Amino acid sequence: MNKQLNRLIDCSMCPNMCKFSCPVYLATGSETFTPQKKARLILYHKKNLLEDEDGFFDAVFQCALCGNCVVNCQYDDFDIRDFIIEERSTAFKKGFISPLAKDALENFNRFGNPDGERETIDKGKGEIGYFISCSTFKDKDIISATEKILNKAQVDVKEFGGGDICCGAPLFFAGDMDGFKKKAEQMEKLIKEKGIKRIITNCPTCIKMMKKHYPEVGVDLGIDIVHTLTFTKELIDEGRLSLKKVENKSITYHDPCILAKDLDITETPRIILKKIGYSLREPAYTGKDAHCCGGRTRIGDKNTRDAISNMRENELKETKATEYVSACPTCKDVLKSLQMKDILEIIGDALDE
Amino acid sequence: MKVKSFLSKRKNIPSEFIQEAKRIVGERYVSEDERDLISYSTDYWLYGVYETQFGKVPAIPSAVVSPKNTEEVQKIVKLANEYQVQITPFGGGSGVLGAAAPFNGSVILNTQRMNKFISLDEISQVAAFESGIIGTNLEKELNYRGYSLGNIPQSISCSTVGGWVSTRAAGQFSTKYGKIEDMLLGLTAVLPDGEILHIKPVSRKSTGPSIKHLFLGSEGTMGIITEVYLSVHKIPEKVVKNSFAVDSVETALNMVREIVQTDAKPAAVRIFDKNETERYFGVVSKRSKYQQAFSTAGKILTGKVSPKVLNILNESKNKTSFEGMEKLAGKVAVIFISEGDKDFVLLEDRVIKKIAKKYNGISIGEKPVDIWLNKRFDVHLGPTILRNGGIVDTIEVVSLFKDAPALYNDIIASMSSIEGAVSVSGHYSHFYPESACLYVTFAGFPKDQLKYYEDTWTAAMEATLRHNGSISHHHGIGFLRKPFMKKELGIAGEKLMRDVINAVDKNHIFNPGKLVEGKDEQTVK
Repeated sequence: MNKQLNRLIDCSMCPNMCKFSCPVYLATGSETFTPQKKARLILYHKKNLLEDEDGFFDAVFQCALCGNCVVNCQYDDFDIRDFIIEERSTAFKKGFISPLAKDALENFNRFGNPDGERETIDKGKGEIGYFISCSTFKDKDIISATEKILNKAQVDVKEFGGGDICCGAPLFFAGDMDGFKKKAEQMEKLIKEKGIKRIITNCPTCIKMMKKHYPEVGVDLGIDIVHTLTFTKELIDEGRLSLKKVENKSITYHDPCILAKDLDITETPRIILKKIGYSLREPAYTGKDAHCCGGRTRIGDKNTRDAISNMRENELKETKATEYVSACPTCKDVLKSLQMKDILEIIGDALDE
Repeated sequence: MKVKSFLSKRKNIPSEFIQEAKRIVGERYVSEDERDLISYSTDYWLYGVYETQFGKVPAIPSAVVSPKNTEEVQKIVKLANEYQVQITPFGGGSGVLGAAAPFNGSVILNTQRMNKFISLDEISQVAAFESGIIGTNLEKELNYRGYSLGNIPQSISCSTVGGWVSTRAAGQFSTKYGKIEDMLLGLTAVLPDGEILHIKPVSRKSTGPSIKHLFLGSEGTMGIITEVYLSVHKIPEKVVKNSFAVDSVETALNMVREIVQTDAKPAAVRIFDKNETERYFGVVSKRSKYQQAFSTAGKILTGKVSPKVLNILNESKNKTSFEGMEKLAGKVAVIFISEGDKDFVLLEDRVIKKIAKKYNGISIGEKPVDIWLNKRFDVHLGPTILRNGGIVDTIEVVSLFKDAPALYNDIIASMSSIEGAVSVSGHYSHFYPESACLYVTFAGFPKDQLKYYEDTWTAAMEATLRHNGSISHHHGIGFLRKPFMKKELGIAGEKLMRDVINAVDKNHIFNPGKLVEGKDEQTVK
């Protein structure tokens, strides 16, 4: 941690070489919300040099946690998001709740999930668990497309999700680390009970939570967790799925933050889309340079979140593609004005009957 | 506030100004919050940055106002005149001379909400942008459309185009594409009295002295630039890279001079002195371990350096070996990038090779160019040096070719003689048929950081003036170089500049304490 603290100091004295990529900065024009200035404020908070603590806490919630700054960081061994989450945790302990986290936290208290009362999904068989994330739960088209692909390839999966089952990401984003730990432990127990040896899910955030952040709170699931896109690519490569071609269609793929930057998946969707016959139209900011869609609760401030969504929507519109696609249920929902589809829906539609 | 300012303090400004400003730009975009006052308290003036780690900042503003367009800027400037509130414009905050540090408790006018691409005229190859767009995003917008501006400074990821204009910035490819003053065709600005000025974009005109040039290098003293019109070019069809090893900086200067005095226009040309050649290209010489780390054109700096400092400075050295690297041992590396239309580029390549041969330049191929391209934005070591009690900075000056070798020797020796210096090195990266810009990087681990910093700067400025050089090529003046402006411009020149600024900014509203002595002595404390 001492080394990381030194890096935080280095970050606080960097010329701000990553600021160009920060969607919060770009959408607000605020120097305060750039990664380097956040590092300086975090350093001052640690040194007890700040008098307006709520103003500081608000600043650490003005972050999309997208990782653009990490991709463009001068230091290979530094991720400022670790410090931002640490400060969010401090904020939560002191009773600071960001406006956008409020509803989700209330729902967690009552229903154990961020969205409210909902049925529990528990069907199918096998050792592969298809985890229906909270964001996927609300999008029946993604679930149907995924089921269609799995059926076609004759893959047995145990579907689970809904009810009070959640990876805990909204709690993590809000800084409620105790609540997050409980959800991680609940997930661990559930997976053991169900005898699941591998998890597939449509939601990149769930994957990151389970793989990176669960171990940080002492929960190691000890199993492979992959995106449905990666799993589908495996099925295609094994010859278990064949795809029919589309003609004269252009498409723009929006890279979800976590999938591209944390899970390093940018080529797979493009390979599949090209295989289906789409002509790819890249926006100006794409791949690891893509801007965040704004998300749902990763940013604490609605105005900032909406400004980012609006910015990304305009960037994507520039391509004038006939279709838009992503690989994250939240991105699809946030960017719905573009009639955004999930890539599993595109693949599902392209399956040879 | 527990965070203290050491150059200029916050002032009380009329609450009516704040209320009116909020009505103009919106509640969210006027701030007197502690977090914002800290965040806009300095630019990248290195000594100021050094002090920030201890909870000290150069200058705390009284408020931060962030307008979204020219009209809002106009209203804020009129309001500032009405309430006699001073304004310091803030672009990317990447300037290294303190030009954006808010002296005299002035209000920051943040231009970074104005960060959009506006238009591209593909017939004339002219692009328009709002002034607060960051350079990397400007390039991304142009590249997306098949074009490039060609201004690629090391700060491209954190500096704005408005800042480039305000400092007369230069990029790494300036030998072909010029400095920003060669690219700027027109602009929109809000003058200190609140009038909107629109300078239409054309290449050249004969309509009296150039008003446009009043804004180039004005460092926020003439008003707020809100939009710029820039000459852009198509992404090059062909790129050719060359590198050579020559015996000395003087030989390299003669070789490059002869090349740029032909019709050749290589985009990037760079002469690395022996110290920088060693650092960039990882040349392992036969000298001692100590000397490998700290040689300066063969002259070793005095003073003991701890193993910790040695390790820190060694971090900057290239670790990759490549074929031909041994030919660079003890030599000066010169690299060239030629780009553009294929036929022209191939012709230029022949000219470069012919003249390099005349100067016994040993060809090393493309690899050193690739290494430089990969390392050119790497600034990670600077903060690490500062954190460990060191001081690091860069100084860029310019002189005629006839004075360049003597200036190089004098400036390196003068800066190296300051107590605490551990590394002083130089490169040339901007060339004209008549002159070249010398860019010196220095690092020291002194007992008294401020004294070392001030003495080193003074040594560099005085050496430059001794050799008829100009004290800045593209970083500007800010407040740090201000004391040297009288010698730079002469008494008449400095007075003329002060008179012009005071005539334009009658109420002394803009950027107090910067650029030239006495422009606002009535108001700056």
